[in-house]
Amino acid sequence: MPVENVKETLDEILHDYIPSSISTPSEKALYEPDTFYGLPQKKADEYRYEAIKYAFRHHYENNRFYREVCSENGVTPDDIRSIDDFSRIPLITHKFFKDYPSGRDFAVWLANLMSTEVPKVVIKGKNPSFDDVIDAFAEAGVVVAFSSGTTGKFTFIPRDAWTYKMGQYAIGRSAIEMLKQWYEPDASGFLLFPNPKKTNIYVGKVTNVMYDLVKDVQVAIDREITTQILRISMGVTFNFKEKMMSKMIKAASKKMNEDMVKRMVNWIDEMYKKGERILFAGAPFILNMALDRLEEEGKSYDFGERGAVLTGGGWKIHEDKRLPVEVFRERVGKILGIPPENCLDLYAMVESNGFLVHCPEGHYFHIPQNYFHVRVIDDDGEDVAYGEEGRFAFLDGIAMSYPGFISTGDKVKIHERCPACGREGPVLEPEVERIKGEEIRGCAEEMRRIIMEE
Amino acid sequence: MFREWREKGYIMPARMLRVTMGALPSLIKVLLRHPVYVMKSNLAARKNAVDLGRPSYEIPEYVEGMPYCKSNERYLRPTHLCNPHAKEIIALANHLGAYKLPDWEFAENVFNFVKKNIKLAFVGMDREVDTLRRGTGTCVHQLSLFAALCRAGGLKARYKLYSLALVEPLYENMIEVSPIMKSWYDALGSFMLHGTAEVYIDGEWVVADPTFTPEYEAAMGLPLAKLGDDPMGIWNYPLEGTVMLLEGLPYGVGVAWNFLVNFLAKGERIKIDRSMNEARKKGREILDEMGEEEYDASVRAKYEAKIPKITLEKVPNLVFE
Repeated sequence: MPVENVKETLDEILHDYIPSSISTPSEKALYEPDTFYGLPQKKADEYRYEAIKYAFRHHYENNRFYREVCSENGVTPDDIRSIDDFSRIPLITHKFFKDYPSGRDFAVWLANLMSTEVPKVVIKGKNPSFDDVIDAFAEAGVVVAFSSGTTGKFTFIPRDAWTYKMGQYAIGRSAIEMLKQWYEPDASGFLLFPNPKKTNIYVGKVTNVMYDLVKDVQVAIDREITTQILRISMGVTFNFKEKMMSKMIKAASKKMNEDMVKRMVNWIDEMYKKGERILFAGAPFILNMALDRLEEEGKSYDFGERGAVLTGGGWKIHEDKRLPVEVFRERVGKILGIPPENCLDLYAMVESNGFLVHCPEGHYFHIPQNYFHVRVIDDDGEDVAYGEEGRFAFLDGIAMSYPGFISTGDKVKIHERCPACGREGPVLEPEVERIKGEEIRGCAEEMRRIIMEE
Repeated sequence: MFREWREKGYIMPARMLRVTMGALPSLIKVLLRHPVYVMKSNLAARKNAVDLGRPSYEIPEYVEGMPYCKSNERYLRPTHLCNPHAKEIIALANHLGAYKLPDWEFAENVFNFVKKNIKLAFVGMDREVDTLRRGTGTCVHQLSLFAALCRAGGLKARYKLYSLALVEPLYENMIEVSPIMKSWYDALGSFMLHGTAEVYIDGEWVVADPTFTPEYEAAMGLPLAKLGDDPMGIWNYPLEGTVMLLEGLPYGVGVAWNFLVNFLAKGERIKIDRSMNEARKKGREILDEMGEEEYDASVRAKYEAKIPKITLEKVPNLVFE
């Protein structure tokens, strides 16, 4: 039977992600509410206001770089007296996080970016690679997650243990709250992303919590993915050796993909026969590959309420083909028998700890308003009216190790209320696009380039 | 001589060789996969040639004794496909204010001339005077013309070449219209070679990207580039490790390109040229409606996302061994 009280159940399961004493407004906003998406607006506003005001003061006081940005904009924490003042909090363009030096300076850049105390990090070698630096920070307890666009230029975000744990708890709560009609800790999961234990690529790292949420997790891409491998997969090679690596990766991909699809198909079969509850979480195009295979073999299942799908990262399935979300849901229903209410999409990015999840009723993206403030802005940085499109920007109340006040390259449309369900607060249209002029990006696209042989 | 050749970039730098050789196999693969399509496309090209029109300018007449820079210094001397001693180049450089105007104003005139008059088109690689006479060329043609004019007027100029990933509107307009180009681009994840020029003024190298006419920029929703504007991060994203600074173009740089656009994939080239030409017409309408200054101001504000600068200060807990 699905759980009755999500918070109670998850607080027990995810106790490692909860501090022994919940003291700061950011922690209170994250850990106290009974629900992320169902809070009365006033209560959500209170939590969010306190969390973001606290986070803003924290970065202002502990991050010299961000304090300078604030000074240039003539804003201090005392200026933030209500939610209406959030528009005064300076946003950092997402491009900033792509503007990093290399070698030892990269480590210094990361350390200067951090608003929390940098632990002792030992960097070896005169000219350490990005991966060397990431490993050194990891040993010191700082997760440097990364993501890449099509140019091979990375976005790097350092998360200390505090921020990382809050982010993990947040994604767990966000996902399960919208899938509570399905959720049981006794379920099994198939992760359609890289193994979080073997990579710092954000799409992998962020899903680490899945190992705690369900009893058993299989992984689609069970190999190490470093920045070098990701860059090579994006087609960016610096020398002959890397060119050869690229060829080898592509040559091996066909076999690996075949094995991956076979494993998924066998797993589906096994889970169905055992009557297990299952969850697929990750890149939709990977599940689509398994659906293709099942269709070819003329197989179909009826998991019904026992099955759930939580996708993320974008809908490109081939270079020139985008998979419409509704078509995907129909296929999932037809081949796996999983109802559309259990087939949801999650919108997130390496720069944030806010996870916007489709509601089962209408598949609109809901915002965890207790700690995450979304702004949809026009070219002048002003908030657009409800019903209009604009650039997605956010104020993240639980990003402690870096200033999480960021304008992104995504285009979204915001509504004042969900047209499909009764949950309070603004929502985003079910699909997100890139703003013209922005680099093509998407976590699923990263995955696609890593595993496809084309 | 070897040293001079190397300095002038006549010997293809390893990085460019790598970029070129890396790009060719996927192109050949794409062409071999679709021989019938390529043949049909080339046949259709004969009937559907695209008319880019005649140049909208007259090349000034060369008069004996016109001043020009005869120096053999690096970045001032003639290089492959960039001859500042050609009569038409000298005449135009003088017409644009060489030796009469301050350096910046002269360079700006050269920049605006190339940018506003030379239409981007995928033509075979040839000399700077051919570009000037024709009024069309690739980015590299335009850079050669820009550099030749600057050098004739006594300003050092060089090339900055790299592979790049395009932003969406450019991808749609230039790449997606040709299935062959699209397959090639997608296989590489980038466009093989693009570049900007750099001109040396008052002790600094200043970026010059004359690639697009204002009409094309308007159609693509881009700001109208000015001398000193760097397109990196605005409409192009160079691939890490591919940026090359060159005095001149290497010998043989255009062999494969010329074979491609003049023979092997002529039909595809015409599709792209037509698409860009159509876009220029739409862009003209936008500029007529808004006015160039107003258009630029509104779009520029959008593109000038302020990237805050971070000062790297020593962090005691970072230990380097």
